[in-house]
Formats: sequence, C-alpha cells, structure tokens
Amino acid sequence: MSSRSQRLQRPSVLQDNTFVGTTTMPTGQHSATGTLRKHSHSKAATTSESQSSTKLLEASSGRARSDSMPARNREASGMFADDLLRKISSKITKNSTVRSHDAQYDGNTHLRAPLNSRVASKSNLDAERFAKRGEPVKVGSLSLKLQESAIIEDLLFTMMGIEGKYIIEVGPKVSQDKDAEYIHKEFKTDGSLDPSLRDLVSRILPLASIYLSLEAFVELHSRFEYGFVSHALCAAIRNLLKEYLILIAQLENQFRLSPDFTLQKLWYYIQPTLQTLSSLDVLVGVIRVAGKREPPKDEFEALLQPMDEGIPLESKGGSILAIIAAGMFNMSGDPVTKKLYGFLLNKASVPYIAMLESWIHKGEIRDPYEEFMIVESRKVSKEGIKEDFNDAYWEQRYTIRENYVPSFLVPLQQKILLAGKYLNVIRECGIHLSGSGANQNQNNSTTSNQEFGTYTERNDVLAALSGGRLVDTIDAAYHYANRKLLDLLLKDKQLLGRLRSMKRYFFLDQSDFFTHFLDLASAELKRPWREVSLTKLQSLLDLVLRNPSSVTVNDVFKEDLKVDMSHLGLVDQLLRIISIKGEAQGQGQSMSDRASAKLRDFKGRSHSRANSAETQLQQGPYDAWQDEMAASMMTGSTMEGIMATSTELPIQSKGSISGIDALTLDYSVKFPVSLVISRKALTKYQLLFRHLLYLKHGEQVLCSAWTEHAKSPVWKDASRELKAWRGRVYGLRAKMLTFVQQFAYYVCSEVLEPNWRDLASKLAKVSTVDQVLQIHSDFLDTCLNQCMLTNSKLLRIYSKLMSTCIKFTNYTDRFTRALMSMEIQLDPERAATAPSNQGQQIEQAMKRLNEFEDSFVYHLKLLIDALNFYSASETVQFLCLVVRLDYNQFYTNQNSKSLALVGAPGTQLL
Amino acid sequence: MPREIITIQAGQCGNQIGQEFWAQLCAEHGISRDGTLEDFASETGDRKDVFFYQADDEHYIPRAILLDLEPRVITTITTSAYANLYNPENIFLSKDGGGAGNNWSLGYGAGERESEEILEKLDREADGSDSLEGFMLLHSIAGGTGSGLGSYLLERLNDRYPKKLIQTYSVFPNNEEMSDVVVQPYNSMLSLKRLTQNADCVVVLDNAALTRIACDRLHIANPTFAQTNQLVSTVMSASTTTLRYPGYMNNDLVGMIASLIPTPKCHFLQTSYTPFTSDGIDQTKSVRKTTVLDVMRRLLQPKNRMVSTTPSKKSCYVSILNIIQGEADPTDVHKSLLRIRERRLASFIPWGPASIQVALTKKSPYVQTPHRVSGLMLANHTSIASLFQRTCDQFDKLRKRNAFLEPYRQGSLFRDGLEEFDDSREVVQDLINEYEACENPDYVNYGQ
Repeated sequence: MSSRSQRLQRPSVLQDNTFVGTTTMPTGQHSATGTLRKHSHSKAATTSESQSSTKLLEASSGRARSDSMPARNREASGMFADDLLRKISSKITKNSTVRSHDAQYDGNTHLRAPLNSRVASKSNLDAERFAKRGEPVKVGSLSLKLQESAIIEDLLFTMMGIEGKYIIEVGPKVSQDKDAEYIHKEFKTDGSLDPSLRDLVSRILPLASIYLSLEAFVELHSRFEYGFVSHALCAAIRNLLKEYLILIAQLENQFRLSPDFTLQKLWYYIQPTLQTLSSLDVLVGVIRVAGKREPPKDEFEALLQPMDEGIPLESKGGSILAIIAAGMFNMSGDPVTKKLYGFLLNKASVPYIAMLESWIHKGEIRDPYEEFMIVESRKVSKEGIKEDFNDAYWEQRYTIRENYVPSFLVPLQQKILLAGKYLNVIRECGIHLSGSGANQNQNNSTTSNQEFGTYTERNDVLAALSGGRLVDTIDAAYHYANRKLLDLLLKDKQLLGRLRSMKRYFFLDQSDFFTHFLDLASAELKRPWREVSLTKLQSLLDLVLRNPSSVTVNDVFKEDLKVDMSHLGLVDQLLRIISIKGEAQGQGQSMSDRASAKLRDFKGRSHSRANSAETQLQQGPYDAWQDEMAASMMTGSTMEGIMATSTELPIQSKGSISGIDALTLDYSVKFPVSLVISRKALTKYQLLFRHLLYLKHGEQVLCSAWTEHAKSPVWKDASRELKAWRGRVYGLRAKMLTFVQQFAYYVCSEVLEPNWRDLASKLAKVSTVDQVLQIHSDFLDTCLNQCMLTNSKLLRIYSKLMSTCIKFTNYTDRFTRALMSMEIQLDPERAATAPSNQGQQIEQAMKRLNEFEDSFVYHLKLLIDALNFYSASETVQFLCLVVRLDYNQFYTNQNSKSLALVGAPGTQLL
Repeated sequence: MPREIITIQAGQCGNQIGQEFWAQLCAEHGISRDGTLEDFASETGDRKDVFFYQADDEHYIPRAILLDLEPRVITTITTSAYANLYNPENIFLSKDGGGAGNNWSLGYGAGERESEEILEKLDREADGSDSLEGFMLLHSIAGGTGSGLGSYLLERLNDRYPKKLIQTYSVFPNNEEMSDVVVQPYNSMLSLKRLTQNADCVVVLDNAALTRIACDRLHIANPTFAQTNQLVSTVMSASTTTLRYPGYMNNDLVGMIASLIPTPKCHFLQTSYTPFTSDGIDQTKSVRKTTVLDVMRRLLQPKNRMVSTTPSKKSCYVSILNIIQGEADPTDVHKSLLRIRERRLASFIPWGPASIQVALTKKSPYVQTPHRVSGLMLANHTSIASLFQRTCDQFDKLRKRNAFLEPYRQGSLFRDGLEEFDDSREVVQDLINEYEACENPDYVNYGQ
C-alpha cells in the first residue's frame, strides 16, 4: 500500500472513525484498549497491535475489499454497536459517578487514562533520565530528527493533557472548585525548538486544551444532579473522547513502528479530529456559559432569587437540547459539525424523549432532576377544587417551564402539556387507560423507539426541527388523550346532564319544586339566618326533591344538592366583589373604604331621595370607571375577591339578614367534573341562583299582598271615599309586580335560557377539554354580566328597588289596619270612640305610601336611564330589559311630561 | 301535592266543558281513560298532581267535583269511556232530578238546600290536598244550574276558603241573537254580580264568539256544542300549561292572576288562541307558518278572540299574558315584543306600566299537532265592559216590562222583593264604570 494512496484516503477514514464511525469504532476501540493494556506485559501483543494499526490503514481500502477483516468487523459491529456502546457507557457512568465523589479534578486523573501504564513507565523513564543528566536537555540542542521525535513523543502526552518534557503547561490552573467556571489551560513549547516544528506543534496544541476542557466538562456534568440529559450527553462526549484516545494510541503505534512517521503526518491525521473536538468544545462552552447565573442586578432581585437552587435549569435537560439544536441549526452549513451535533442531540435526547413519551402516553412525569419541560406542582391537589374558590388546579397543577423547552418542541408545547394533563386527569380518576388505547400507545412508543435506534433516527431529531415523526407521535397522543378525557367528561361523567341539573336547581328552569320548597320553608326562612336550622331546610328540600310527582324526581344528581346559608346578602356580596376588584386594580385602600362607606350609606334604611340623588351625582364618574374595571375583570374571569372578602371582612354593616336572603344552594361534584364545575363556577351559579331567588321571593310576597288586596273584605268593600287611596296602593303594588315579574322574565328567558342553549350547542361541537372549560366559564360570565350583577351602580339601584318592594309588602298589614281606621274615621259615631292614635296611624300610613311611591318610581326611572346608558358599554341585552320594564312607555311619557312641565316656566321667563 | 286546584263543574254546560277538559288533560299527560298511566308516558317533566291525585292502585283521579240538578249530562259522562276516571263520590246529582229549568233562582235555591252535601265534597277534596291554591269553576251564566248553583257556590267558597283563589271559566250567552231561553239576561245579571264580587278571576268565554270562531276559523257551518266545547277545553288546557309543565315562571296560579289583574275589581279576562286544531275540529285548511311573532300577532287580532266585544277608541289592554307552547326560540320573543310595539298592535293603559308577558312552555309530548308553536293569550281588556253593557241593555229591556219575573219569586232571595235584580244591575254598572275609568290616565285616583 503506497503512502500516496494513504494520503488520499486517510482523511475520510478519520472522519468516519470520529463521528460516523461510532458504530465501527467501538470494536476497534475495544481491541485497541485491550492491546494497550497488554502491551507492556507481553510481546505477543505486538501482533494484535500491529493488526489494529494496520486496521487503521486497511480501513481506508477496506471499503473496496469487502472480504477484509475490518470491513466484516464494521458490519458485525454495526449490529452490536449499540449494545456495546451501552455497556461501555454504563461502565463509564458507573466510574464517573464514583469518581464524581472526588471533589477535585487533579493532575492524577490521567493515571486512570487508558494509557496510564505507558505513562507511568514513561515518566519513570524520564525520571531516570533526569536523574542521569541532572537537568533537561534543551531540545534545540538536538538534531532536527531527534527534535522531531522528541516533540512527537511529548505531543502524544500533551494531547492527553499531560505535560511533556518540552511542552509545559503555562495556562491558569484549574480552580479546585468544580462549580467555578472552567478556564482553558494553555501549553507552551520549549523556545529552542526548531521554528518549523514549533509552528506545527503550536497548531496541534489547542487539542490538548480542548481535551482537558472536555474531560473536565464530562467529569463535572455527568454528576447526578445535572440530570439525565446531561448525563447522556456526557456519555456521548466520553465516547468521542475515547475514540480520540484510541487515535492517539494508534498514532503512537505508528510513531513507534513506522520509521517515516513525522510530525507532518501526525498533524495530517489529527486535523479532522481537531475540528471535531473544537466544535464540541464550542458547544460545551455554550452549555457552560448557559449554566452561569447572571448575578442579580440589585438587592431586590437577589432577595427574590432563592440562593440555593442547585444546578440552574439553563444547563440541564431541555435547555441542553435546545442549545445543541440551536448549534445544529447554526452549523447547518458545516455538514461535519452538523452531523456531530446531530449525533449528540440524538444521544442526549434519549432520556428526554423517554420522559416525553411517558408524559404524553401515560401522563406521568418521572423527572427527578427538573429537566422536563412540564413541571408538576404537587401541592395543588384536586381535592381543593371543590373547596377553595381560588383553586386553580387546572391551570397550575401542570405548567410548562417557559424558556426551558427545547426550541424544536416549542410549537408543540401546548399539545404536549395538554396531552399529559388530560391523561393525568383520567389517571387521577382511578381509570386505567383501556387496553386498546394503552396498546396503541405502546405501539406508538415502540415504533418510535425503534426508529431512534436506527440511523434514520438522527434525521428524526433533525426533522423534529421542521416537523416529522415526533410531531406525529405527539399529535396522535394529544388527540388520543383529548378524546379520552372528553369522552370521560361528556359520556362517562355525563357533564351535560350535570349542567342540566345545575340549570334546574340553580336557574330554576322548572321551578315548581322550589315554589313548593319556599311554601314549606317560609316560616323557617323568615328567621335571622343564624337561627335557621340547616338540617330542617335540608330535610324539607329533600322532601320536595323526592316528591314522586315533582319533575325533579328523575334527576339522578338530586342527591348532590345541599342547602346552605351565606352570611352576606346577595347585593352586599356582589358589591364587595366588585369593590375588591376595583382595589385589586390598584385603587388602594381608600377606594375600599369608600365602597364600604357607600355600602353602609346605601344600606341605611331610608334616606331621602335628595340625599341619594346627591350621592349618585357625586359618585357618578368615579363609579363608572370602577364599574368598567370590575366588568372587565369579571369577564376576565378572575374573581379572587370572593373568598378574600368573606374571610377578611367581618360582618359589619348588617347585623343579621333573614334566612331568605341568606339562602343559597350548594352542589357537590366529584373529580373530574369538578374541573368544570369548580368552586369558582359554583360560586357564579350561586350568585345567579340567589339573584333569581330574590326575584322569586319578591314575586311571592307581592302576590301574597295581591291576595290580601283582592280577597280581604277590608280592601274589597272599601268605602267610596277611600277608593282613591286604595287605588294608589293597588297601583303601586301593580307597578312593583310588573317590575319584578318582567325582571324575572328577562333573566330567565332572555339571559339564562338563550345562553344555556348556546352553551349546549357549543358543547355538542366541542373538541377539546379546554374549550369545554372556556365555554362554560364564558357562559357564566355572560349570564352574570347580562343579569347586571357585575355593575355596582345598576346593582345598587336594583337592590334599592327590590328592597322597596319587599318593605312595601311588609307594610301590607299596616296599610290594611290604616284602611280599617280610615273606615272608622269616616263614620262620625265610631270615630268618637276610636282610640286616639288612629289619626297618627293613618298619617303614618299616608307618609309611608308616599315614600314608597316616590322611591320606587324614582329608582325605576333611574334604572331605566342607567340601563340605556350601560347598554352601550356593557351589553346590548340591557335594552331588552328596558323594553320589558317600560313596554307601554309609561315611565318615558311621565318623564317627558314632567320635563315639559319643568320646561314651560323656563320658556315663559325667557 | 303543591298548589293544587280543585275543579268544580256545575250544570249542563259546565259538565260538558269539564268532560272535554279532562279528556284533553288525560291525553296531554298520557293518562288512559280509566286513569292509569299509559305505557308510553314514562317521560316526565310534567306535574300531574295539580289537577290529579293518585288512588291506592296508582290510578289518577281528577280533582273534580261534578254538580248538576238533572241527570242527563252526568249520565252521559258516567256511561262514557271516561266513566272510571272520576271519583264517584264527587258526583252530585239532585235527588229530584228535575233540573233548574233555566231559572237562576231555582239553581240558587237548590244550592242552599243541598249545600251540606256539596260542601262536604268540597271539604273532602280540599283536605286531600297539601297546599290548595284555589278552585276553578266551570259553568255558564245563562242557564239555571250553572248560573244559580254556581253563584251560590261562589258565595259560599269565599266564606269558607277566604284565602283561596277562585277562578271561573264562565260561558256567556250569545247575546247577539235572541236565544230560546228568554230569561237569559236575568240569569246573566244575577250571576255577574257574584262573579264580580266573589270570584278572583273570570275567564270570559262567549258563545257568540265561539260559534264565530268555529265558523270562520274552522269552517264549520253549524258548530255543535261539542265542537265549541272543544275550543273551550283547548283554551283551558292551554291556560293551565304553565302549571302542569313547569318552566322558569308562572308555576302558580296566583302569580299569573296577580299580574293580569292589577286592580282586583277588573278581573274579567278574555282569551285568544291560535292555531286551533283538535280531534273533532282539525278540518283547518292548511298548516300555517308559526313563528313566535306570527303567533303573538294573531293572538292580538280580534277575530281570534273568544269573546265578542265592541272596543271603543279608548279601549286598551290592562295586561296581557301570552302562553306560547312548543319549540319557541326565546330570542324571538324580544323581537316580537319590539315589532308589536312598533306597529302599535296593542294599546295599553295610560296609568301604569303594562306589558306583554310571554311564558314559554313545553308542549305535551303525547299530543301531536301539525304546528310547531301554538299560543294562548290571556288578556285583561277594557272592552269587556261592552259585553256587560249588552247584557245590561237586554236586562233593562226585560226588567222594564217586568217580564218573566214570576218564576224567580219562588226563590228565597226574591221572596221579599226583587231588589236583588236592581242590586245586581247596580253592581254590574259599577263594574262597567270601573272599566271605563280604567281607560283614563288618572284611574289610580279613581273614585274621588
């Protein structure tokens, strides 16, 4: 074999050996290591040594000669390469973990290097030589031939990071602290060396520094706390380094055996390796730098950052993959480097992909070193969902580690997150993924694993940058998980049935049971809420629900309904929510003080119209702003306020509310339906329910007032003289009833029912679980908004109207008595004998009636105006309410009339 | 169980209407003719217990009391397919069986005489219900039994159950043409007084209008009583749908009535129904398009009204309740309300807020109709006064001549004179005046 042909073909061999050749090399490496070990002991080794060295040479021509040994070797090794690699790397891993306990990287590391027997003997030899000669001979004093061989000998050591006779370490010492940043060592040759040789040597020398740097990196980063990915990467690098050492061994062999081995040849052989290792070093450098935490900018940030955090996330797991991928992308013009990075990415991603698959196929995270892109917070438990209003199981249990997702997975991160999250929910429900699904998953993962084993697999990771097999797997897993959970929710757990039953109980869409319940429980509910017996109410409710003739009797979920008492009235609670939200927006404490002051003011039993008008005017613009805030926040579906309010603020303004005002329902749902009907959603349902209850109650008491007016003889047979007064009472009662009923109609048939239909039709078409959550929460928010429960100003007017109505009905008896007194007064004979306070009684009733009339009509007009105003900013739906409240334009006409009256004198003045 | 309603059907007309009404309810609830539940009626969502209760063998019994002074109609019922439906204890037949002979006075007298037995039946039914909401009286005001016995019952019910609602479905005679019963105006007037004073809500059905609707709408040349009665039963069943098929609202009678009747005296309601179809009278020519707007618009048309009134220019609605049955889209309601207001299809009282309430209810799943949506309007309209005015005019004609008064003198009320007639006339005149006042903006201060 001529040296000429060697020259031509060698480079490709070397390249092959270094990266592509990972499959071929192990066998060579194996035998080489073996021979090197034996070398010092037995002469017989020379044959095998020569074999291995010729192999290097033969390998070049080996491709042509298919029958040659190395070629067969390669084939064989191709089959077992993986196995071997794994064995070796596992050995190395063990070693390295053992070694990692050595706290420092010391100069003796090389003693464990494969060539250490040689080194030891060599240095002994040197020592002898030094001992003989006293001091090292200046290399320059030797002949050029000797200079060359001496420097080659030295180089071979130096390339393994060991100082030679003429090449010495000059660079900064490696710090004893491993965590400190690694500084490249520098080597320097003896100044007396022949310049031509020195030039060549200086070109080779960086290799030594790189080797040391890589060695140090592997040493440090294969420690367990750096995680699986780092470990896998280190194993891959270690393999490469091993090949490098083999190369050195082979070179040394050449140097010993071949007389015409020159420094030039050495340089020639080493060049591709140099390139490989230096790009490897660049990568390692990037990883090192990434791991370095930037020092906190100021004290505040320093406080925010916990001091002891272990290995920064930037230098492990997904970040490493991201770095490699980025390098691969950047180096796409350089096929060699690209190939190298691809190889590394392939190796390093194995544990990561395994994690990914366990996540997307099983919903499990096995991530002891915080490498994975999804993080699980264990403290967020599913039980909290039912209890805690602010529980954010769905949002917070699993989150993506933003910034630490490998860049090639970023487009898929949502799918990955959701796939696992969905499966996790199913698992949490104690449901094992059914056989077919699991099998399908198994198949999926095995096929992809197989692919990872083959050559094309590298392209796979490569292709992951632009979509490919991995994408399909994730897609499939995502769709599977999504369908599975959706089926679980919609079919197994009957979500729609649940929602329908919620609608029945909280929206009273078939309210017969509730009318009956109110009938039965009316006595109990009149008492202050603290004295109401919940047990009694619950038994009454159960009685009503189980009534065989009731429409609720067939509802399978009726057991889940519970009676509850809230210690705040509906309006109070809503106003607090709204005011808290205002506060959250940075309005500060003063605002909440104001709000609570307003609240108290507003709750004051009867304040004159002028007073209230004044406050309205005064607070007008401020309120509007606050309202907008609250509304926007409400639609943003953050209602942190509720829990906070009910715990923080003690009941202050109102001593005690009656049972009917405090009555609310509770509904218990189990995981995973509680994902949809969470405490937050349930609270919204409760608010809507209490709103309806308030209206129903108002309607009921007004109806009983009507019964009194229609049936009692006092009213029926009133004297002609009293008809006018009676007429006014009737008129006011009719106005109130119209208001309450129209409002209830509006809430039921223009807000709840259409929105519910909308919800049902959307749920029928829904394709992901997150959509379900979103749709449901949107539904509730829309309902709240359209029922005008999110606008404090409207709410206050409304509450004023309702309380006027209820107070009016409470006065029915007094009006009846007053009417009787009036009858007596009309009769002079009986008037004489009547008790003296009768006149006063009548007067009082007159006054009250005036107050009620004024307050009601005033506020109703205010409400209509406000609704007209807010229909522009909040929801057009308010206009429907306006139409209903003033269908025959009674109030509008009244307004225009009074305006005309006011206007008339003005024009006269002009 | 809750909010039960006891139906009292008095006289020939009342029992005939009642028979149709119960047949209709049974069909809608899937109850067979002997009271057992049909196999197909497993679907729930309805409340049968407002009008029925269950016997020991689970079969449904109507909360109905059948009263008559002559056996003809009752015998028809007890020999019909529905014979086993009713509780035999609840059927009252006068022992002499002679009937009231179209004499109010006789009917009233029979009531006084037999009051113990009748009230015993009422008490028993009332005790059998958990929270009785009220009574529903079906009768005509022209004859003898329905008007006379009915009037007596109205008075007694008010005394005995002062807090319970009394609703009547009262069939007014066809007063556009002279009928064979000449004393009809007397009977009507005397009944009207009781309806004004002792009933809480009177649904006025007018034979003239019923005949007209049967002719015009259903194209029957000479409608029989059976056919017009079917119209009545349709209206009755429709007006009780919200009680029987509970929805968001109007699940109790008082809530419906209270909103319809703002001032207790003006409690005479008229009804419209569209489109008419039922077994006997499904000869309607074509199936029309029924959207909510169509239905609501048609309900406001006079030709669909089941009372013949002659509205003046000032006549207006005090209140309207539309009960829409079937697959209606709630969002259509608002559009329809707006459209009706734009087109000024209905004028309302000027003295207070008033509007069209629209209750959407389910349709019975067991009764097939060709229409998607059907509607009933219960309205309190001031033009009803014109009906009373006509009755008054006819009454005055007879009274001036003191014609046919002799038979009445036999009754206990008239033994000492005929003041009762003049008293009734005065009460009805008051009512007419009240309705007229109702059309004015200052009605609230009426009476000063």
